[in-house]
Amino acid sequence: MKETLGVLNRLVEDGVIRQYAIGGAVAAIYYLEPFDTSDVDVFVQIETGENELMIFAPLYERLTQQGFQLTGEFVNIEGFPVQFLPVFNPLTDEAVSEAQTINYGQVTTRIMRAEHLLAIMLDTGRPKDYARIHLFMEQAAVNMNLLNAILLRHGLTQKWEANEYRFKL
Amino acid sequence: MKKYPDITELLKNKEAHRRTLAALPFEKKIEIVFNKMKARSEFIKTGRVVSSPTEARIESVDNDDVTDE
Repeated sequence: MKETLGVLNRLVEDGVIRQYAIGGAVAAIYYLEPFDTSDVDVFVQIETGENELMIFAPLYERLTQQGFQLTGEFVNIEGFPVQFLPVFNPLTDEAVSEAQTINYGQVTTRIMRAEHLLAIMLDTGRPKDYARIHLFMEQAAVNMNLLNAILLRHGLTQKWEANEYRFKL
Repeated sequence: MKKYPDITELLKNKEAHRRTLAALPFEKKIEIVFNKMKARSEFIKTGRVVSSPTEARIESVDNDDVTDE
């Protein structure tokens, strides 16, 4: 994993992507007990240019030049299947910008904050997202002031209130 | 009336174990999750069960602690 993170950091240093943050299940595992997942979701801020369909072309080109294989929607980087996702709304954009930097062995990486993960899960709204929000409320230290500000900023306060009974301990 | 055992203590221990897992260093948690994934992939490819000492230890403690994503 250290090597995978090193590759991600170099993509930023070399200007292939503007910034990245780990989201999804792997980010949740940072805060919670481990649970099964099959990939590492990496949200990236990247120049869109004129052709949005080709958004990942420079990124994939760089990675394949380095010998990493594309398998379906994943890029196998040093043994870990990585799925790159462009930030797709102001919430995911903010989650990447405000991600926290952590140490993983000798390498640093960026992980979305718990409060942003909760807001993204609420926005996505699948049953497994709601179940995971419950786990966050139960196990992780969630800063409710920060969460409420994020929900308000991204128009999710009503959705939270409507579903709050699902997350109660 | 049928008498059922009190499993309060069992549940309490299970919860404590989940909290212990949650408190593991991130590197350790990633190792657990992806070793399991690699073992599953290997099993699908070869039909042979591959298990690392870490997985064996974790699974012996509580098989459903690593829940499905």
